[in-house]
Amino acid sequence: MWIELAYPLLMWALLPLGLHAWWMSRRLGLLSKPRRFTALGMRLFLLTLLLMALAGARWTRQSEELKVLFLLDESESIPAQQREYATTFIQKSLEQMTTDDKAGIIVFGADSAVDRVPEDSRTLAPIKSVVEKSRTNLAGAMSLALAVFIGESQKRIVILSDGNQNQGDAVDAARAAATAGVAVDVLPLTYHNRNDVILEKTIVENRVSLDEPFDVRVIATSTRATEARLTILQDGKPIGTQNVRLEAGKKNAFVAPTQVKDAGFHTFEAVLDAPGDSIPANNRGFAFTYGQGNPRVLLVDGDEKPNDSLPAVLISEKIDVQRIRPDALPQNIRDFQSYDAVIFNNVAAGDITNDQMLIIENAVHSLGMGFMMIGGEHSFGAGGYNDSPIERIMPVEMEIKNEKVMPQGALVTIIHTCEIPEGEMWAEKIVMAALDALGPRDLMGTLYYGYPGGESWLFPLQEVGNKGRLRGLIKTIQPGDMPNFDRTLQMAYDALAPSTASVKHVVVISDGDAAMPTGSLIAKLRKAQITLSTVVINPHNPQCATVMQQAAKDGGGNFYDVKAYNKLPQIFIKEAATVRKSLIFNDPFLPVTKQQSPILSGIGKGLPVLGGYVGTTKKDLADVPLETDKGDPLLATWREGVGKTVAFTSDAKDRWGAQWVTWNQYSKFWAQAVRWCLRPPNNPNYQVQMDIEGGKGKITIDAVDAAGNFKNFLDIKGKIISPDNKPLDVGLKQVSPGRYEGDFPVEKPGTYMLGGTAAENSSAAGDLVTGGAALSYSPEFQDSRSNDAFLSQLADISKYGRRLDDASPVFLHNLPSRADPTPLWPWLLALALPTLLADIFTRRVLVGWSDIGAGWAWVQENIFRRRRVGETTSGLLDVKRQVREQAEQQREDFLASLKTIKESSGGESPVEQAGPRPPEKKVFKPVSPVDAARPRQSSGGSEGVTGQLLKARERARKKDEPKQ
Amino acid sequence: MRSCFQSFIHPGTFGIVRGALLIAALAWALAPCGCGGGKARTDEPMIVGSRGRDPGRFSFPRGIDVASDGRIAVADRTGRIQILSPDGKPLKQWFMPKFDNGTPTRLLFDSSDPATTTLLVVDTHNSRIMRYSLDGVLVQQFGKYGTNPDEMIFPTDIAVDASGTMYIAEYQDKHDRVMVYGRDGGYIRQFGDFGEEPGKFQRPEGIVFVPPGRLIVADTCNDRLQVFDLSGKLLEVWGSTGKAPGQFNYPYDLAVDKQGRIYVAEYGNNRIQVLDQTGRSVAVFGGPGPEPGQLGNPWGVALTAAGDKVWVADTLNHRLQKFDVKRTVQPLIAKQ
Repeated sequence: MWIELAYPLLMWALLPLGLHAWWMSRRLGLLSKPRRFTALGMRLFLLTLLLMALAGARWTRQSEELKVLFLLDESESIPAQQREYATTFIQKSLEQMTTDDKAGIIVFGADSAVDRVPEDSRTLAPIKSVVEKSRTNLAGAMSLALAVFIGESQKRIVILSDGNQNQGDAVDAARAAATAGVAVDVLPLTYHNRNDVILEKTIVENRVSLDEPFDVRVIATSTRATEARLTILQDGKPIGTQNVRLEAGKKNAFVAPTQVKDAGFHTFEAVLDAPGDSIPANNRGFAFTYGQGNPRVLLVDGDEKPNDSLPAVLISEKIDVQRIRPDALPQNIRDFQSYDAVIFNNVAAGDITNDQMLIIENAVHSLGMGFMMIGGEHSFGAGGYNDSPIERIMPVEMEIKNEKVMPQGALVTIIHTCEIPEGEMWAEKIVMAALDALGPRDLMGTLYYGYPGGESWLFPLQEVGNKGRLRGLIKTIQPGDMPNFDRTLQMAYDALAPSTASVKHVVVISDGDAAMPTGSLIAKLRKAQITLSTVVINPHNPQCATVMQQAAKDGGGNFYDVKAYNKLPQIFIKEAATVRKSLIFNDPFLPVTKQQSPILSGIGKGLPVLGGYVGTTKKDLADVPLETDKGDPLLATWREGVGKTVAFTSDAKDRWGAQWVTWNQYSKFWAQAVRWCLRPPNNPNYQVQMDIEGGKGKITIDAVDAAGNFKNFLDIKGKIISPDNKPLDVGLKQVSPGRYEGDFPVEKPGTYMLGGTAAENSSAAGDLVTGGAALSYSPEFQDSRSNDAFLSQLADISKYGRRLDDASPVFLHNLPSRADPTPLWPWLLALALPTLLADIFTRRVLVGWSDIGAGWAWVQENIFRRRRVGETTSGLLDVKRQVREQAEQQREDFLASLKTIKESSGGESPVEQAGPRPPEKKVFKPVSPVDAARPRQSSGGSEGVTGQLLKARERARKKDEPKQ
Repeated sequence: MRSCFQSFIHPGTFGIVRGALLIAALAWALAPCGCGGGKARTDEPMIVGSRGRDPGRFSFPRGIDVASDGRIAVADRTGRIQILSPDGKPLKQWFMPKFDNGTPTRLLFDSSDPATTTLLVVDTHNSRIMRYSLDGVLVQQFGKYGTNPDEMIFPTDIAVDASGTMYIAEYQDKHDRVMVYGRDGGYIRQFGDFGEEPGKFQRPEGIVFVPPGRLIVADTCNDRLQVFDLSGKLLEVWGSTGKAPGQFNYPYDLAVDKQGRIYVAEYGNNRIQVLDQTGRSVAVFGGPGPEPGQLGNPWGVALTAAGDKVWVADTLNHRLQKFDVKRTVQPLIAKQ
């Protein structure tokens, strides 16, 4: 226990302040010396107290509190059995906690998260935090743990891991922990995968010709000799299976012959099945090749009954067409590489996921794929593409910015998601999604059950505007438990009914507990032209879903029973888009040619009438060869990165394009439109090789010219699209004649696609080069055994670290305890106040000892009613002093009388009067019994001056003797 | 006295002393505010528990009842039934057999059988009623999911009359009603329907038996209480939507004392309202907030057998509060 100061330097202020106090005290010359010193002392004491309070004086004492953080390794390399063992160990340890202990949990993989802050609960709640499991970053977890330990207490970290770190270095973190006084214990999660077959590489030639045989080569290793089945899949379909034999400890190579019939990108996958293989995850491999042939186009049809006019045109133009419905749209960027262009024909944004839109954006921008959107009632803004990745790559905006009055749509969302896991997050996501799909002049409002206000508007029905403010409000939503929808539907009705919006819609989401109101309210909504859609998620029972479904039926809207939460945003985009029907114009018009374009080449005047279109706005740098009669874009194009995009806001079938389908230039128009945006063919002058090894991706490009000579001094750069759709810039350097190399970091397993340009110099347009490589499995599966030795090494770095086993007590209070400081300023101030009073008292109130004594005597006499007959020592001292003062008084009297004598005799006075004496002391003389007993001496006498003097001296000397 | 002192005190001292004393007085008066003192001098309810999963802690406690010996039973969203001592110390807890689909919302001590007291738990999301001994042993179970007359969807609350007949409030099948079961768990009859008219219900969340023969139903989404006799005949309808005394905002749970006074836990108004036996509002206490005495969407209210203490399941605040009737409620009644 000791007192320490937070800012000890502040105490130096005592010096000038103390000097000042001392100087001020000199002005108290009126006081006696002891009094002055007391006053000065009081003042200094007061200053010390105040300065200590300001300097943050703290009283520290020992702390018996112990905080333990469990670091739980959740990476993929930990087998399920070991994970069970770890959580059981934590649970058992928690049960042994005492009242001074607090325990927390951090889970980690590639990143780390605090699943439980240090607290005293002895129950282990299920782990809720989600971390990226494809890597092990133990150092990051330890750093997070050190940051979580706030306050003073004993601190321990317990690491439950297999010791196979592949990111960061835990040794540094352990040293930091030791410096901070944190003990590091380890509990190794031991395993040894005796039987592991690893498929190391899958190799295929980068470019092949159609119908020409080539080999797929597979390299595999195994920890022991075993039989296995090798299956090769080409574009997802198995092309062959062979039984193979793997030797232990060496590289086994196998080949499978195959060929490709179609042009474009092809994916090969190799799978090894071995009995008793403990980690099947590392038995897969991927490779890609490119087959040279006809251009390929993916046509996505959003219509229920797809029209064949457009595909027929393309096929006749020797363009291969693959037709799919929106739900079959590829989910992976390498699958898009097979296509040179993608056409969305009346496909709504709500029919595909945001991830798919991001993939398309990357494929167009970085890999050169072409993209075209053809109009219909589900396209452009009416399809909900507002503020989407697709809008970013299109030459038009999904909104009409024209001054002309546009009908508005109005949407109200009612949110009851409090009972689903992460209900707040999903509430935020879906309201944001709906907001995104609306245009700036549409109206939106959101209702929920808040606390304490109950049913309230998160934001009332209002023009969406530039959405920034509403986005901020949406982030604060905390949906509560709404008992039923009666009031919120009524509030929605009250807001929507008087609105002048042309389309009014309400969407309700619930888990089914909240009751639906009587049918009369929904009927009232219908009468006011307000439609109602319902979304039920995780209903407790079928009846809950039935109730919601009936409400949607009565409400003239859609019903969704959602099992997969990630579909929710799409549903809300779709529902929001229903109010954007106002963007659709159903009046016939004649197209207006505004500028020339390769698409219109050879097509004369006289484009036929179209029956309608979807309203959009041209972007600044876009080319708009055709406009509608109202000046809105009909045909717009532009370059997006290395790819090209085309927007056609009317349709290519017989709904709006009835006159076009029969037009003799129909084929020419569409063939030219599609060809314009196709990805340029893969240039045979470039040989691209991509590899992933040792956590890094490598690109090698060999460039030759038409004559076969090496092409040097090319400027080659591009983008790598990683598995999570993030583009990364990459540049290549020339390393030898015609050969250029570059690399890129590889974190997650998946496909890495390269899209780049090779140009003579930085300003020339370049040739397109593409390639791909795959990391088949995470580095988590490279080690077939746990690394107990590494963990022991970590424990040894810190002095108190231990290697734990099943029975080890975790909550050991053997660490040097840290003190827990209590601030002292309240006590110091409490002490300073009376000191201040005492200080003032000392200087201003003159109470002497005699006063105290006299006061005490007075108290005795009058309150205790005691007369003191005898005398105590203090009484005697009093008497002594009294006598002295009496003598002084008498001397004065005598001198005064001398003066009068002198004056009356006119001579000099032997005694000079120094001047008026300041009334230094007005002595209060209480009557004491002693005094009363003593006879008073008279000052005058008849003996003469000398005789009187002598007599006086005699008397004084007698009085000086103590009386008995 | 002053004149005595004046003879040896420096002039002006009194001013300084007065000033110093004033500052001292101010400091002592203000310091408690800064140091976190200054508690309300009104009677504080006793707070039991805080958020957590340990014994004695709660996560959204919803069902509460008090046995005749003062022990308290609580159902919360962790799937546990906890038994606490009369002063809130955890005695026992057990888990419902199944709660992945949702947890029970209400419970009731049944002492209609003089031989034994059991605990009835309304397992709302599993469409059934469970009866437990006070040691946590399941002794009876009845109720089945379905839309047939004798099947239920979401049973919410249960009341028991003197003969052991059970009355269960239920909703979600568009036939919100009170179902009547015999002590053996066999279905007998029902009354009520879905709607707004008197005699109909919208999500009834509370039901209580008032001896000798009345039932009061908290007709939650109609913001009112309805009084029936045991045969299901409607006797009275009390209340309307609002915040004023006599009005309700989602009344959820009911409790009745020996004088026939009714305590209503209002989820939407975050308060407890007390009515006399004629349905007239006589007291209101609570209000939204986290401080002692304030409530957050309370789902449950229960009285001790003597009617001297009120226990509230303060759901959103994850705790229970025990109010003293004499200190909290009586003064409000007296003011009327």
